[in-house]
Amino acid sequence: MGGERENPLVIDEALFLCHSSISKHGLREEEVAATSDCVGTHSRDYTGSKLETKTRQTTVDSEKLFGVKLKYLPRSVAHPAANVTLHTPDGRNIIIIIIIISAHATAPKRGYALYVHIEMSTQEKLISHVMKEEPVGCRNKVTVVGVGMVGMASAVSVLLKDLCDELALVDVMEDKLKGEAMDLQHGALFLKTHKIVADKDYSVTANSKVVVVTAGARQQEGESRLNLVQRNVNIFKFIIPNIVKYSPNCILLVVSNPVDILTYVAWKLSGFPRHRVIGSGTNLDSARFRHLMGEKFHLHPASCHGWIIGEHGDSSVAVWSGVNIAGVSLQNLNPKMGADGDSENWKDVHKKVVDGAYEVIKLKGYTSWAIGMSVADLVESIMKNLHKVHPVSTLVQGMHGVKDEVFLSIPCVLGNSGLTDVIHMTLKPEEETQLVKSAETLWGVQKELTLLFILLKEPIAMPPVIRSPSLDMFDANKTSIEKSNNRSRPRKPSTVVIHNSMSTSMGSSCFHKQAEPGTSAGEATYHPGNFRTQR
Amino acid sequence: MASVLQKLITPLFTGTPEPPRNKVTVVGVGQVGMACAVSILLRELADELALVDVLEDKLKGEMMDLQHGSLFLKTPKIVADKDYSITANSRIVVVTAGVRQQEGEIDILTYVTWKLSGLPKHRVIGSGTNLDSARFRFLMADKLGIHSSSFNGWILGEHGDTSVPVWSGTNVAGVNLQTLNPNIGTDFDEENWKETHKMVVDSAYEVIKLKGYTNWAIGLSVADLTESLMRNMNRIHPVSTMVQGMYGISDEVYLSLPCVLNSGGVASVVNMTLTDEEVAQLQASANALWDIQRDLRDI
Repeated sequence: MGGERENPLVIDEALFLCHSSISKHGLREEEVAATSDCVGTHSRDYTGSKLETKTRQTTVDSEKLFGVKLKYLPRSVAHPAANVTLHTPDGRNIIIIIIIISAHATAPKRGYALYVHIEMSTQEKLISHVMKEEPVGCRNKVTVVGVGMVGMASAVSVLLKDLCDELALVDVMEDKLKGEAMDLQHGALFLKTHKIVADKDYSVTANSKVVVVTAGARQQEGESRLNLVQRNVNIFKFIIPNIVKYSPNCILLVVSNPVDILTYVAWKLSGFPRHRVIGSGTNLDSARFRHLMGEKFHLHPASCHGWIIGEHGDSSVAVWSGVNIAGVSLQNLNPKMGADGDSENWKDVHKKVVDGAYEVIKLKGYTSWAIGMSVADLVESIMKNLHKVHPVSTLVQGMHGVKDEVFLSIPCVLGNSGLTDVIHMTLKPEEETQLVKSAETLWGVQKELTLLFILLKEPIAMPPVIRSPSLDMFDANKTSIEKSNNRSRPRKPSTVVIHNSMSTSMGSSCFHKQAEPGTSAGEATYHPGNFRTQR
Repeated sequence: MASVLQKLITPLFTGTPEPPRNKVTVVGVGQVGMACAVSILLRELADELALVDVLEDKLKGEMMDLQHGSLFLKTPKIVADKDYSITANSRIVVVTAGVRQQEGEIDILTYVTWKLSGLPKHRVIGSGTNLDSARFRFLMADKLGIHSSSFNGWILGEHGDTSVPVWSGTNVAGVNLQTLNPNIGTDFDEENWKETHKMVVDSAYEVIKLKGYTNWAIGLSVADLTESLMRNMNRIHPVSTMVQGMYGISDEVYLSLPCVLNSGGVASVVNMTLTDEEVAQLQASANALWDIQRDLRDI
């Protein structure tokens, strides 16, 4: 490079030779033109017929030629047509073939001829990339946390219903995770979800629209859901902050049991507003109930309407007054429905719903399909902004006489913002009493949790920081709201937006506060019955 | 005292209910069987699904779990029993029992099924290289950055190590890949596309090593075949069929070729133009299979 003069004649000659090579080697005009720039900069010096190369490094101005930096890997230089093969980072082969016309640049009408033979890969020959911008990426991404039976059933149901354009799977068991992802990918031909990714690292979940949390210990035969609590709380302390870190605007759908308590835990740990934390709740119980109703009447479950609300589990509440087919209230036809002395023993139908899970667990070891399909049903309403009403677990404090900060299932409207409205059912006094009792049971467990673990609530940018609870935590006289307000935590400004004003039986309206974009997930949540911000 | 049912609903038709028109049976409720069942349910292909197995508890549990999801499905009747009478009037019976053990036996087992059933040969189909081809199309398309369905490629012959990738047929939007890269699939290929076929052969083992079994991909591929059969679509799939008389094969063996599937079963076979080498591979597979089959008794 150093000592050569660029004789214009030499360059012209070289260009001429290059042009004549086009038909032979299939080069394009623009490639030849680019070549002429490089003649001066990367020709080699050879003397006579015996080929010697100087040992200097030849730098190819690859960036000028191909618009991309290449790794330089010289091949054999023993032949006059010295081939220099360069490899692009994306695996293309570009061969630069140097043909020597004359050893001396000063000899007239002779010169170096250098031409570039770009050996294109099959992909390049086949497909030309024409988009200049960065690809848009996914818009409808769903993440499933946990690849056990429930997680995979949820994943497959979501895939088979064509609900997302990208699916991410996360778990701690790396082999199982990779195996499941591969197995799904091998079915890509039959699916409409182009990208299925999986990793132990939560970065793979970034920008999810909905995150389905199924991770957690599984209910053993005979074990009640409440016994699972502490085991699953510890798992959530790792999972939830990681989800929030990479998808701060997602909607959390909690499936792990006991779902009502864990939805509360997820709400606390995530710092999300209540409309973005949903528990799968009694969506499945209601589905089981409607299936059993369908069997009784020889009808499709979709035409049998019945709502099971409250706790997903032993103390769920069957709202008999609402059970209807084609608008005909069954309780009007059978006033004893659901009570003792009912000759048709509808109470047993409800019992079968409660016991249903235990029975399936006893028979096959776990339940998966029904819960997976019910998850897909909820995800569908969210992704497609259906505004459909589902019985799912949400914050019910202030409704139906519930005083504690608990999550129970009531009919809610689901759309792409999440859980935007709740339906206020007219419940009988005994039904309300049951709800209040469930709430008290759940609160009894939850308040133990509050004392045992430290709430991890941190701004998105910082790694998790454990803050010591204030001594208020242990003050029985202060309400939970006051206690949490006194925790040391940076407050971010937020704009107040009146979202949904719900007229509940208590006649209070609620504010929904939304944080400005870019602020942390330290958003306020609305609190039926009072206007204090709560976090 | 009239029950709620009687008060609510007045029947108009009290004769025997119509038998199902689109009934599918799945034999075997292991991972593969259940993946097939769920894929068929979620694709809404059947109006009745029957499950059979010898493990009674597992069978009942799986049936109940599926029934509990019936609200979200369009298959109103899901039944299960150890007794095969439950499978009466099925249009399609998917046999998955015992499939997990040895991958390489599917073509032989299809032959055995044909012999034992006494059905005409076009009604006995082996899943064959349908899944291999799906994996192949996924891996190739992934390399090119496109969807699997936009990449056309066929793997034929014997399911397993000796399957035949028909490189001459690989194309995208009609552009033949072998024309772009004449060395494709050979050892001289600098881009080493042959590696993709090897990955297809190894993928089952790899997934089994990682998660213990494969089920989703095979389940989805079975649903795909079921759709063509159920809906009389006349689509072409690489499935295992009786190839005696084709490509110079004189034995009664089952190998995968591109078959047109409709509600009658295998309606016809597409005569793919294969190279001599590919034909030789098919013939070698046929010989190997016949060597094993001729010694089988009681069929």
